[in-house]
Amino acid sequence: MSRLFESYSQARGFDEAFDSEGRPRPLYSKIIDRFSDLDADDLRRIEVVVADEFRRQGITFTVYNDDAEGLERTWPIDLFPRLIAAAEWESVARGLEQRVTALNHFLDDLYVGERAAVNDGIVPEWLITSSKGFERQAFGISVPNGAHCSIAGIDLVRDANGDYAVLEDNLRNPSGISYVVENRAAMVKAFPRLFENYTVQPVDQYGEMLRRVLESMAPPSSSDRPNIVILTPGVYNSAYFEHAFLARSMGVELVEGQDLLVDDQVVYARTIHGPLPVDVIYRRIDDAFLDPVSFRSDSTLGVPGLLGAMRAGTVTVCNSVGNGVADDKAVYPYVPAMITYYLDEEPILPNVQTYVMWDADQRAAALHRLDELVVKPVAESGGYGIVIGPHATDQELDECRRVIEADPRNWIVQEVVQLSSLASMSDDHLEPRHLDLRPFVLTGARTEVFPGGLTRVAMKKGSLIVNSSQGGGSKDTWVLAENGTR
Amino acid sequence: MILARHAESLFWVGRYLERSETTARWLEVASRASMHLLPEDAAVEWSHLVEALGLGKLLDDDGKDRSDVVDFLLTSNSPGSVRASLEAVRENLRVARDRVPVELWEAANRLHLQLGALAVRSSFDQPHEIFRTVREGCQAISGVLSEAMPRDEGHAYITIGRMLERSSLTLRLLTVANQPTTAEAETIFDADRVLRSSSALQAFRRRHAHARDAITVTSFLLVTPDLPRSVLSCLRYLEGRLASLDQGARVMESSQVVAGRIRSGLEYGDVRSALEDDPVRYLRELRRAVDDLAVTLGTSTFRPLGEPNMHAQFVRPGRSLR
Repeated sequence: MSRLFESYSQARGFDEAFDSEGRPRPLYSKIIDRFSDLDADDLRRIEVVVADEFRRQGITFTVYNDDAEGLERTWPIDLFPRLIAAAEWESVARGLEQRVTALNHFLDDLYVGERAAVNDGIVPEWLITSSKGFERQAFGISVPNGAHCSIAGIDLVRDANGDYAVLEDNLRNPSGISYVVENRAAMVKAFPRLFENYTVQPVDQYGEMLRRVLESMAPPSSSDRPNIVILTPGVYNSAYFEHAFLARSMGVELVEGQDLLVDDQVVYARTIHGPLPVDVIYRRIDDAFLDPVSFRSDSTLGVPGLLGAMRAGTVTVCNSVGNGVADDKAVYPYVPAMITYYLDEEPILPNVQTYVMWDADQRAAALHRLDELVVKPVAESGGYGIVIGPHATDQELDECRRVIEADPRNWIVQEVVQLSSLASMSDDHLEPRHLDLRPFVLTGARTEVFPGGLTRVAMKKGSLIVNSSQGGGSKDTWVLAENGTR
Repeated sequence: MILARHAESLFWVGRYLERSETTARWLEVASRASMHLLPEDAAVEWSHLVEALGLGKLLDDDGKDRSDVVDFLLTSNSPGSVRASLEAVRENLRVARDRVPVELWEAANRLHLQLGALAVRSSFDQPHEIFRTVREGCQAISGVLSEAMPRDEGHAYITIGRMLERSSLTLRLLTVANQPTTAEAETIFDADRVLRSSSALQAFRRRHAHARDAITVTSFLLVTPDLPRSVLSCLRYLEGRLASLDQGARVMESSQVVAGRIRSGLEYGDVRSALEDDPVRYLRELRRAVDDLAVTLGTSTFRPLGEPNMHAQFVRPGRSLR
């Protein structure tokens, strides 16, 4: 093996490319061969090509820090790809489909149906009504196909045995799909020889797939060519690139709140020829900003009267409002039970072992060994506010105990998942880095899983934090076709 | 369909693109000419340039020596500079990014990055590299516009913006050139510079080998039908694109009427006599009519449902979006 792997020493947990004896796993052997032919200078040259490609297209993301000024960085991608074999993916995809189907049943049951799951004690009522994501305004707003969540991003991790588990559900505004598509485009351009020995499932069809899903979400009254728009907070939003990317790949208009108006419960876009009716809105702004009449009155991003139009059924908004109750981290422990309840199936993908802090016994046990566990606030995302016990100081852990005792509803505690790792470039050699995976699950007339997803990589050895807002990177994720290795 | 907001952004893409290209070209011509002038005469020339660009108020009266003006117009953060204009092109393209060809955004982004890199190391003594970069960058953008963009509504608005800005700037250039320059109210018309600034010197030579007087040159730049920078060409082109938008949209008619009126005045009116009579007044009136056209367009199409909110001529649109 070349110098690139010379100092490679496995991290804790499951190494996706090498077995515990340090031998290349068969899935990766051709990739490892290819990298062994190269040295650090070769890789650096390729990295420059990729970075130029991203900069040329202006593919950047914004990091917000305490100075309020956002910093623009080019998207960080590691050249060593992540591979998933066809059979393995098939099982993961079935698990994702099952989970999102159950979550949509839950949301429809809660907001439109009889609240059967609550009445049958599957999820405690007080937990739902105390959720920040629970939205009383969503009552009675039915959606075509019962798809309250048309676009879901489910964060997966692999444990010490390499088994997949769900870390988090994102049912509101999951982002990252544009990077999946652009990562692949850049890799194909900069590193074509890497693909020689593999047949990889394509990813550039996302726009068509999403368009089909959104068309199937149009209100029954609309024409068979429904008018779809994407609603963005605007050019200063950190995900604006993605919003423009999606509009372009679907061939639909990218609108801001000021471009829409509601008249007599119908939504219109302001065009140069006057108002034009809108059938489906893929919105990328949060519930709170969607409609200043119903939610935050100081919002200038939203559309006054939009909720009324949704209720009247003249327009479908994807994702629908109030989804936050189902991806509340405090509700997450109940998702496996939802699957059994609604689908009468065994959950294919397990949760990470989670302790709820409002249960006195679980709390006492967890606080006792907090230095071995992970503490998460239920209402944060992007990796903010997480305390990893083994890496925390005594002082931090004491502070955790104090805030948990003060407000148990706001915290969950989980076993540390020793995330799987994969070889990644560090200076002039490859080192293992921990990673997770965010696949995207689309629901219209039926639920479909997009092949692969966004692999996020921790940028420091041993770190378990992979969020791009926390300095994480990404990898191109290859789901292989059947018999995809040559 | 096109959103009114996107139409407005693309209109400003056209205006700022034209303004950057023109400013860089005028600067290039002026810096070449000023090498042969005494410093005090050069100062007068520079102040004319700034005035023709309508930026007099922005530049302090006492600061108009060569270095200040070049820096001010080329790379400063001042809203009238080439760099700021190109930034406005990029920002407005970003707003409408989903409906223009990817290559268009990439060309604008590349120019922005190149200029940023040049501005750091290039001093005012070596502005020619910047001139060339801007010229070639703008040509690349024009190339994408002409070869890769469908002639849709978005394209129409970019073109309309360019033609408006181009005719407005040509009229400004001619107004300043025709102004009396000395205390004795004697006009020294610098035909060579005016023609070079309009990329029209060669074309002029071929047709008017001997006459180089102010009226011949001025009317050449006003009414020559096949010269891409003549005001008549701009207005004809603009009128055609306005007509292409008019698919049962009443809002468009008012702009078309205004454009047609100015165009027919140039096409059928006695331009020569008007120039012999009082060139500066005639040119000013023309420019006012062109500027009014921009306002009509703004109130009738960009904000048909709300208050008119045209950007001030030199306020960068990107900022008002925050």
